[in-house]
Parts: sequence; structure tokens; C-alpha cells
Amino acid sequence: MVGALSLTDGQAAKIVLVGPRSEPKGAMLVIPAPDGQSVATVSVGEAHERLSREQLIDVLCAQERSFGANALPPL
Amino acid sequence: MSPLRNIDDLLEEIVTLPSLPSSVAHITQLVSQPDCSLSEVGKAISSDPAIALKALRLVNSAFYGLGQKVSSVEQAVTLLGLKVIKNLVFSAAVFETLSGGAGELLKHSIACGLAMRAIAESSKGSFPIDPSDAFSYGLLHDVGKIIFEEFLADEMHQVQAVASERGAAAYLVEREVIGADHCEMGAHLALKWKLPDTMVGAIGGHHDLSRCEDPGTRVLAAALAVADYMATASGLPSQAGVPVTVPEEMWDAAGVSPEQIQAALDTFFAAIPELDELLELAT
Repeated sequence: MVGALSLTDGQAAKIVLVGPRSEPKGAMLVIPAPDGQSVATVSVGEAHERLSREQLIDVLCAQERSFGANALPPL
Repeated sequence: MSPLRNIDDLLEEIVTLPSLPSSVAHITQLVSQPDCSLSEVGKAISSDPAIALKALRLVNSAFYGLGQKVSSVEQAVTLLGLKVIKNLVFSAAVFETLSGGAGELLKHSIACGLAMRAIAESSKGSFPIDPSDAFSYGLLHDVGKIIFEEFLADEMHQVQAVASERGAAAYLVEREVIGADHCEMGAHLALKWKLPDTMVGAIGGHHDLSRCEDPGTRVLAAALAVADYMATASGLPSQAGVPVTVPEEMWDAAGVSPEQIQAALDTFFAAIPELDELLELAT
């Protein structure tokens, strides 16, 4: 599952969800380099300061909805 | 669209605030006395069959997770202790009083109660109130909307339509269309029900911190805004299609770190299965 977002420093990035919240790499940020030639990936868990707290909640809810056991209703 | 009325006009002419059952005030007063006995409290609860029934159903729900069937009010009082019983009776009374309220709104309110409880638990003792009290705050935070839905249904449809169309916060549109927002109305109801000042203040300020002067109340009001966002992002909004955001000022006042957000959501998601059971109790 992929979505686009704007990080707290204004940089555009993509969020990729591949697994549940329990997996350290279940949610990854894909951040293009300034030259546009490469990308960096970092787990959401290691990049809290780059997301607003609302974005963090949105990502964790999306992970739970997609991979979690607790049957969140659809948005 | 600008109405020529305010909260006082609404309360005088249009809205009749419901009362909590008188048994609740009696039970709350009993529990606050230092020499209060469990059997006195049990008798007081049993004297109101509607509340007693709701309280028994609640105590046997996954929400309390006792792991054994409780068949009498006296047994519930003995197992839970006075402080938890006070919150149990209060929740039962709110469910009884607001039963028949709009389903989605009630579901959202219960979800916010669970989210607020989770936020309190994640704060590991640094929260102004304990988790069992926090549930009540979340449960009642949007009670003003429930009142508006009952007495001003047409205006609330207009609010929802305008808020969705503009991408504006519902409480701001309420002020335009109705003359007051649901936070003010909720605070008036909390005052009528003689609820703690911090609860009155938190309900009144959960979209507008300028209404909260006391530092503890500011934390609670801001935490309600965070709980509101958590419930909405989880697919349990108060009104579908109406945006909810938490201003930076609210985040700062709530003092909830990213690690606490993760811990609170873990607890909140695990409590989601309790939600439908609680909703059944409330309707």
C-alpha cells in the first residue's frame, strides 16, 4: 500500500506499508534525493521527527486497517 | 446564515438539557464519603433498576474484563471497589440517559472514551486523571452534538453539508449556523450534571483551548482533541466527511510524544472489539 505525503521539513515523500505495526520495517518512508537520481528509505519508527503526529496516527491506523487483527472500519 | 442567538437563547427557547438519574448524584455522594460501606453503595445502585441493569451488563462486558460472571450489584461492588464503581455507575447512567442518540455519534463517543483511556494509560502516571476517569471524559466530549442532533437536527444537517463542502471544522460552522458550538453546549450539560470542573472545562475547550485557563484542564481538553483524531483516523468519526485536525497548540498542550502515540494506539486498537458491546449497552 503506497501513499504520498509531505514531511515536516516540506520534502515530498512516499509512505509504503508492507506489514503490521509489530514489524520494524512494516511502514517505510521513501524519500527522493535532491538530485532526483536516487531515493533513501527509512522506517517510520526511525523517522518520527519527520512526520507530524497526525501523519503518524494516520500511518499507524492504515497499517492496522491493512495488516492488523482488530478490524478497523474503512475510512 | 448568521443566527441572531447565542447559547443562552438556545437553552431558554429550544434546548431542554436532560437530567442524569437522581440515583447517580446520591451514589456519587456516598462514594465520596470516607466511611462509606460497600453494602450502602450496593443498595443505592439497586434502588434504580434501570441503572442497576445497565451497570450489571457493563460489568460483565469485555470492557471490564473480569473473567467471571457477575450476577449481582453487591458482587460487582465487592469485586471492583468504590472508585471503579463510581465510574461504572456514571457510564451506565450516561448510556441510559443518551440511549436513542444518533448511532454513529454514540459509537464515536465510546471510541473516544477508549482512546482517552489509552492516552491516560500511555502517560504512565503523569496524566492529570487516571484511566478509568479518562474514559468518561472521552465518552462525554461530544455530548453537545448529541443534544444538537436531538433539538436542532435540520441545522446540524446544514452544518455537516457546509463543513464538508468548505473543508472546515464543524465547531466553527456550528457557531455560524446555530450560534454556539457543541463544546459550549456540552459544557453546559456537564455543569447541569454537576460534573467535576475539569470535565466541564475539558468538554468546553476540546476545540478551543482559549476556554481553558487551568493548566490541568488544558491538558485534558487537548488530550480529548487527540483522542477525537485517533477515533476519526480509525474510521470512527462523529460526522462522515467532516475534517478533523489537531492544531499545534493542542499537541503541545497534550504533551503526547510519538512513542506515547504508538503505545496509546496499541491499547486503543486492542480495545476496538469492546466497542460494539458497549454500543449495544448504550442503545
